[in-house]
Amino acid sequence: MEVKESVEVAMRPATDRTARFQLLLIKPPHYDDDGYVIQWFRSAIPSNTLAALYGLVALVGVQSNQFPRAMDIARQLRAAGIQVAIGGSHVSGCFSMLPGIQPESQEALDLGISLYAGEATGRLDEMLLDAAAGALKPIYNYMDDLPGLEGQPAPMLPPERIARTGGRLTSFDAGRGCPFQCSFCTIINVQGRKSRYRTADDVEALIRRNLAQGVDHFFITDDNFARNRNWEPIFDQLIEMKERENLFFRFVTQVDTLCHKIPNFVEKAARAGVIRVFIGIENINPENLLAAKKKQNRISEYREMLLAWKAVGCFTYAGYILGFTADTTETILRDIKIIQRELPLDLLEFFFLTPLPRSEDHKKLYTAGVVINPDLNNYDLEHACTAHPKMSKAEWEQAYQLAWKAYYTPEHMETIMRRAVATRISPGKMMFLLLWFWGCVTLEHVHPL
Amino acid sequence: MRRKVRTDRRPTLPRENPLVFYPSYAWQTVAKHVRLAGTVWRMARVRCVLKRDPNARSHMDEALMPVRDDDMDTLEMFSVIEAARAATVKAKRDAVRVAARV
Repeated sequence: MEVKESVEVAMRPATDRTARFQLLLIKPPHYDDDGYVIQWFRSAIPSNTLAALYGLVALVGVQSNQFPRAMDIARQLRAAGIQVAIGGSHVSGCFSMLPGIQPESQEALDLGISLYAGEATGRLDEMLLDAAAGALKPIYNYMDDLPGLEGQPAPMLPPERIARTGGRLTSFDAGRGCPFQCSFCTIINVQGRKSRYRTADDVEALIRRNLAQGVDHFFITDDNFARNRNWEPIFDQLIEMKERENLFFRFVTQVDTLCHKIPNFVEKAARAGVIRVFIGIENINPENLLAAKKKQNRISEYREMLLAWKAVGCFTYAGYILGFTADTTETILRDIKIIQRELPLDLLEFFFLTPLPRSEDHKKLYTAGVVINPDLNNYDLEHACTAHPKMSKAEWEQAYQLAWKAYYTPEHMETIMRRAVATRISPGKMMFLLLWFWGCVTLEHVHPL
Repeated sequence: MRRKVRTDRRPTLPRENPLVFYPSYAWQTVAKHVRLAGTVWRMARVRCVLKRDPNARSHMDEALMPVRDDDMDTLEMFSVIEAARAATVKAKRDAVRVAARV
């Protein structure tokens, strides 16, 4: 609906004298296996790209799996003579990691669609002036110039947009960049490995503006907030707001498996209002972690780190990747049983190891000429996109389905609720989250994220 | 819950007949809600039991046990996987080195 409305407005005839220059933003979804657009009555979280750019234009924040849908929308607009630009991590990553212009990008250029690589922060005016003059350049490439975030406009979404998310949750990035070098990761090749961050004053102002419009639940979208070099001043300022002014707000954030080694990080996170953390555990086999260059993940630290979050009453989510070289269906199921028994994890989410365009893994396969899935729509971490050395495609897909079933059994969901009560977490809230994950996979056959 | 719009289909695939699409969509929606209701009921019962159980807060299992010195010798995570055994040996060696430095 959102896309349709936008398209209808954009397709008003340019000759209409009452028409004014408009900038429309469309964050495209992707298609399911039956070809239908994946959309929800209420989304889980708002798009952080829209939060950053609300009120402006173009197909924004387009990931690889959303590129086909973005192109299908863009084609309609171009057919009506409308200027279109596509930006986001797919375009940015391809310019950053691959030589020349990729076929899908060339197709866009041939249709007269402009490609925007890099971050628009602080420099969108150049493209807007070009668009107002009807002279968009084919390519805007800022990949060599990642902007600082200090003093930049804060991302804000209006309440009517936030009301369309399940938990009345809004989002903002307190920083960008991650120092690690995981070979499957795309963020480092788009946002860089150097920490760029907002000031504590900027974050405080953003929180206050949201509180004034009745929004108190935030998703901090930093890929790894523990490596945001400004995490402590930000947390200190939020703690002061909470403890001196008695303000109420909560956060969901993403961290790494060594965050508990940073002095005071976990304790201050909880005091600042963090209630849920996403952690990239990825695997419990060190051979797999090493192969993915995930050297910072030490399985000997997992329990200590998870228990640290439990000690402050936080929900823990972990990502778990299936399809590393040492994985087979049997080892995957064995490892899930071990995790259920030995790690105090609440929610575990499974992903196919995917050579996402813009990752080092993809670049290696591309350079070696290995066959990879040509349909970008399938690069959603729910499809096998290349061959596995030990499992056939069918076995790998079956292992993925079995992994979800093996973790979200009625018995284990009950255990998680028991652990929640023991760690002072509401069993009702835990029940809601478990149902969300179980329902997405079992009923909708769509990944919960 | 998921929204599905008949006309919002990938252009490479045919648009489904409304007489096929809508009954199928309705049936899927009803079936999903029935399964969801069953699971909600089962979990709500667990929640009620936990709320009434005065000992629920003292629940303890292997995952919630504090980290112990012998974790690497007793937990399967460190013993079943070949590479984990090697990593365990290295972690122990590193711990000894750090202790010696202190």
